[in-house]
Amino acid sequence: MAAKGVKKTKTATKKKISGFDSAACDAGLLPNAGKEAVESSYRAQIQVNKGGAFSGSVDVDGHFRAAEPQSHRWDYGIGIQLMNGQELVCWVEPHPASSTGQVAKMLEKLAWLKNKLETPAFKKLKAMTHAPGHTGSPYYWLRTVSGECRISANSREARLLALHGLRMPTQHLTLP
Amino acid sequence: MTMADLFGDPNPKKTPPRQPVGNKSVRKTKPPRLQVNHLGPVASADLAFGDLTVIVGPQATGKSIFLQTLKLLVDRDQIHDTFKHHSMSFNDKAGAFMEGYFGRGLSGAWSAKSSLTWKGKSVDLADYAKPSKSTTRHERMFYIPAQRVMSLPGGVSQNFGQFNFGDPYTLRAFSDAVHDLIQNEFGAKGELFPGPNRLNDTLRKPIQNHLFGGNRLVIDDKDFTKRLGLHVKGQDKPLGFLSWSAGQREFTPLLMGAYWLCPTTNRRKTGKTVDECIEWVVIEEPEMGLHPQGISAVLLLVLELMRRGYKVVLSTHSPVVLDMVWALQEFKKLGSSEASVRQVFDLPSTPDAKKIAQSALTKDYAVYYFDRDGSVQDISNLNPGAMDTAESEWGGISGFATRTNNAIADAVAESESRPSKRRKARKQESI
Repeated sequence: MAAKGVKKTKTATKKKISGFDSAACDAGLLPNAGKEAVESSYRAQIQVNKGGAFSGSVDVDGHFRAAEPQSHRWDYGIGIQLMNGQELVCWVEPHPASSTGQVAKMLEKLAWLKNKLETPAFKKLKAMTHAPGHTGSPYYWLRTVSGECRISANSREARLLALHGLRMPTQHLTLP
Repeated sequence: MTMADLFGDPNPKKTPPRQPVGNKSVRKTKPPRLQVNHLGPVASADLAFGDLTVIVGPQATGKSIFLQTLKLLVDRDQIHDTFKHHSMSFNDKAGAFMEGYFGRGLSGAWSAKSSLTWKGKSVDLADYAKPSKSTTRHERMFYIPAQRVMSLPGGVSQNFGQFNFGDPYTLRAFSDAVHDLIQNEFGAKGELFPGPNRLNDTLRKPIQNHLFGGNRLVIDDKDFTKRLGLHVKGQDKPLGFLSWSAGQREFTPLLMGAYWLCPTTNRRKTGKTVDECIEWVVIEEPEMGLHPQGISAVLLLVLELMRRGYKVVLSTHSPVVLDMVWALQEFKKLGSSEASVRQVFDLPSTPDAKKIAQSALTKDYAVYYFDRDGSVQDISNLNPGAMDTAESEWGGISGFATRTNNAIADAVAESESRPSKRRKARKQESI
């Protein structure tokens, strides 16, 4: 009887696999709970919109570091579950905005990520990237706290960012 | 109600004065500070002036009346002496003086709640409606008003007396200075630009390239009236004032102002001794009618004025002006060299250009935002990443560009999420 009881408890605490986790596994990425894949120093800068919840996160950069050491790799994918149960993925890159020179690096990272999303393994993640629940672009440039922001809205570089679907860098994110 | 009752609030809202950005060791004295409560549309303002102070904000938020008040505080006796010289007497009627000074209908900007504190001392503006007994009576602030084009109707300069009661004093006084310059100081020379060598090559070339396009600004006295004209290569007669571009018409009085402020000595002498000279320069909307390249030529003049030791105050709606202030402050923080300043203005490595650029890195900068709600906010850091949108969007000046960029980014992302035409077609085939 006792053994039966233990088994019951284990079943009750078993983590429910989110759509994000499943999509991440398909892509060969290791899903983490909540924002845990994100480096701890950036976590406080990332919040979720009222009613939403973090459904998982992946360290894309860490995963591809060994295989593609020279590539400009994107950092994180974060799963968000909306109030209506729909799941999305937001792509977050903590990166300095200390000069307009950083824009070119960000655009290379974005191109790398978009290439990955075109591969069959990333099919589910791509679908969640373009899910209708997004209020704007799913790609986010998180300005690292220590750095200054030296990209003015009127600059050519700010317009280049926009043309590639990337919003201006911000110090705090509320996803999606 | 007496005038003394008008300024009764003894406890204006106190906010800590701003700290200048950059090397604090450069600052020798406390910055002059003006606190204002309930002045026209301004509910509360506390400005500590830098070597260059820029004020921004939507129309009718009190920027102009604030600057005219500053002029009155700085030049009280010289203003009264000028009115007296032109036989204008207000018989100690403060309301009449205010209308004569600020302009018709503006005396109502003051109410019982209004108060002023200038350089730490509470000021009763009613007192300023009368001259003081001070022996220091020379002009210390040169004011280039937004209506400056009205100083040259049809290209002919106007003296103080040619205006009417109720026309703002700042316009009349500026016009008078331009009149004196055109009729007397440069009258016999015939050419105003690039002629009189009042500005060095570093300052002259951008004006030549971006504002006059190689044409010469001349004084045409053929009809027994000294009238400004623009001499275009290959044409016999100079172009009349109203045939110029709007930017050229706006810029010319500004150029005259710069000539007036840049004599062979460093600063314009206005009193009996060399120390009695202009200390402050106010330029309202220096960008008026100009292409960004023209604005950059004007900003170079502003840096020259600062190099000469003038304290400059600008009001502006131009992102170009704030781009410059932002860049100069960042260069100071980063310990950049004068070459970075020259890069902004596309200046060659000449001794004059280096002097202006070097000087710009030693100055203090301040930027204030006059909000529609009557508050005035210090946005001096102009940090595009600031949490406060008043600062990150530079008092609304880059707000539209930010929204445009974000809207395009979102539209790009949205278009990428739509299935491509080929995929749509394949789907239909399979059905």
